[in-house]
Amino acid sequence: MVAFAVPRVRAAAHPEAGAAVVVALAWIVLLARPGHHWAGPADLPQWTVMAAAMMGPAALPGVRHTALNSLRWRRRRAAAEFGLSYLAVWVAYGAVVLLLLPPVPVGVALLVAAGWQLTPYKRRWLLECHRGRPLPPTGPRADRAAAEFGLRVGGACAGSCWALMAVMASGPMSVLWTAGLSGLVLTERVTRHPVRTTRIAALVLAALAFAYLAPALA
Amino acid sequence: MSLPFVRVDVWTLPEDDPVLTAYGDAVAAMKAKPASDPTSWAYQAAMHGSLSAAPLPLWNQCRHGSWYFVSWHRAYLYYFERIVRAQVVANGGPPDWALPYWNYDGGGDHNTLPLAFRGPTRTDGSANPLFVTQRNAGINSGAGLPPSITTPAFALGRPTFTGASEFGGGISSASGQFWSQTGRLEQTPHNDVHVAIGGWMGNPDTAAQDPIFWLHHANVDRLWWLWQQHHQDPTDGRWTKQSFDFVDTGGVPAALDAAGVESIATLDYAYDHRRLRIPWPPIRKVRPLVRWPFPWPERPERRLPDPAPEPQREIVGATEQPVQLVGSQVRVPVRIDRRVSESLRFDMRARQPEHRAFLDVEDIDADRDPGVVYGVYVNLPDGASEADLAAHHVGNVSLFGVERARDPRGDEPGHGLRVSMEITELLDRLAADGTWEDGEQVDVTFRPITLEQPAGPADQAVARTEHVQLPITVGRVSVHFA
Repeated sequence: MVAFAVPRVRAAAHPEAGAAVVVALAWIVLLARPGHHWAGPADLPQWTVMAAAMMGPAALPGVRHTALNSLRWRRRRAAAEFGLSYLAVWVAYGAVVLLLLPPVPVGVALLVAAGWQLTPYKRRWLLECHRGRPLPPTGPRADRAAAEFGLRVGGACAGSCWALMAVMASGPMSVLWTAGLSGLVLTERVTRHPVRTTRIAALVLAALAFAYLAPALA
Repeated sequence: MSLPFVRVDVWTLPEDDPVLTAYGDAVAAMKAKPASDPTSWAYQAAMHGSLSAAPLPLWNQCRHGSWYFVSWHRAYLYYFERIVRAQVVANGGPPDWALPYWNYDGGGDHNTLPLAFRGPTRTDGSANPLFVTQRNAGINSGAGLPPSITTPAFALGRPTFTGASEFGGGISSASGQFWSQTGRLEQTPHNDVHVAIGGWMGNPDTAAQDPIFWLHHANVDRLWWLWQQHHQDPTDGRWTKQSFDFVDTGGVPAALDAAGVESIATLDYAYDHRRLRIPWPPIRKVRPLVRWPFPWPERPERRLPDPAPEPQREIVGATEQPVQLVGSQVRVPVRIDRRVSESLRFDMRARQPEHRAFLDVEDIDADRDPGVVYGVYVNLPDGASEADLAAHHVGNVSLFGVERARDPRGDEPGHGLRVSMEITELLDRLAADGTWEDGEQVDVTFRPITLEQPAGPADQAVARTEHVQLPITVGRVSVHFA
């Protein structure tokens, strides 16, 4: 009994560790297939791996919140419910993008992303990513609450970052782009000055858009 | 070195004392200035919060629900006091003028609004600049704030500054105005007194327009100073080096960080007494070992003061569904999960810590502040007497700032409020008395606290007209062990 209890205390210090391992694995898979070109709905598994790698780090605070606010014996379960429903939002978005939307030039996608950064909606969604919710301790209510929480944070995150992910869908999946945009998403999520950060990000995206579009226009 | 300016207890001053008359004259002169003038009444009040759709740069700066609460407000009061003193001197008033404080916990009628703030006219018949009608009914006619909301004991009894259940509040970002890391001083008496006075005082965006705001905050500042006599402020650079912008006399821009306001001596003011007149510490003392209903490991003797950080907590139980408060008493059971408490017991035996228990009231939300303070009681017996109420009282819930918390302006996300209380002492006592027999459940009672209506003819005792019926939703009540 004692031996059973002790490792759980260690896990409590970083209950998001399991989710972090999943994110790291997604990165390994992603790095093994650089330069992948999107070819429609058949690529949904690949998209899922990319979403886990890129959007996973931003979900770790939510995983941690869910775990620490759950009873210790159902901590992993609640964290998994949160994480899976969060990822489900991004898979659904991927399905829409890969199935329905026509391919967009990278420069245009970047310009849209830069513009979205400056809207009040972006700010609202980004702040919404941080909003917590009460989690009941046990039973079906607890399961439902963790899943709903994941859907809500995932939804807010998608509302905030849909345009950035559309950039990913518009070009080949290069390591540089993936890492750069992931860094942007994570910085916006964890910074103490998110509003200022979204504006700086808008500038960077606009500059990149210009770099892509200028040769075409010249 | 010059003598410091001395902030005195307002209840030691007669109604027409020169300090109060000079304050009133200065308020009137500052109100006559345009809101764009940084030394005007409107500008100074708007620095705390404003409903203006076109705020000036230093408006809407107040820090709440945060460990910056005390440092920001001390600096705010310091510059305000200097600006008022300059105005007092310009008006020909006393050059050593200092802001009085309202010690509502001072006994007798000190819990009622000081006389100089109550009536529309002064003793000489002139208009009273310290009077505003925007207060809860009863306050201006002498209704008393009950001791359960004016008590500094919950705050002064905390050994540590940093943490939501500690004296000064939990770590939060320096930007944004309302976080959910409210410390014990900020909640009681600060938030509760704001809500009980109501009207302008009940909303952070209007509060500083009421001249009593500044005497209330001088008292909150005095309580921090008292606590500092025995305890350690944060040494974390994020707190000590965090600077905030203000304006000084003549409208000159100024800035102060927490390290710059920690000692009131360096700010050249003092309070009119050397130490607290009640025995120290008020609630926390070393107790003989008592056993909880669980076979807990033995607890080592507690050291005082304790500079240790907040312990890592472990949730052991919570309510299943949100709780609605609509002006009457509500009792909520929180079941303590057996599997968690048993596995914790093994961990604790391995680590040999002292065991502690905390109660969190989380995700407290309402469309707007209903103007009611709820006392929070643990395992309150049925038909509780006054003594029972006092013995089982662990803290209060009030919704000062809920409008701003749910709809923030800056970098913070919208959220409900949270109140966090340590209940170790009470559970120890209940376990020792044998009144917490099963140890498997903690009953939490929310009970509205009403003003003490003034003595005298019944028609003077005006009932409160605030929106008591506006529902408050408590998202979750949870118990944590550490």
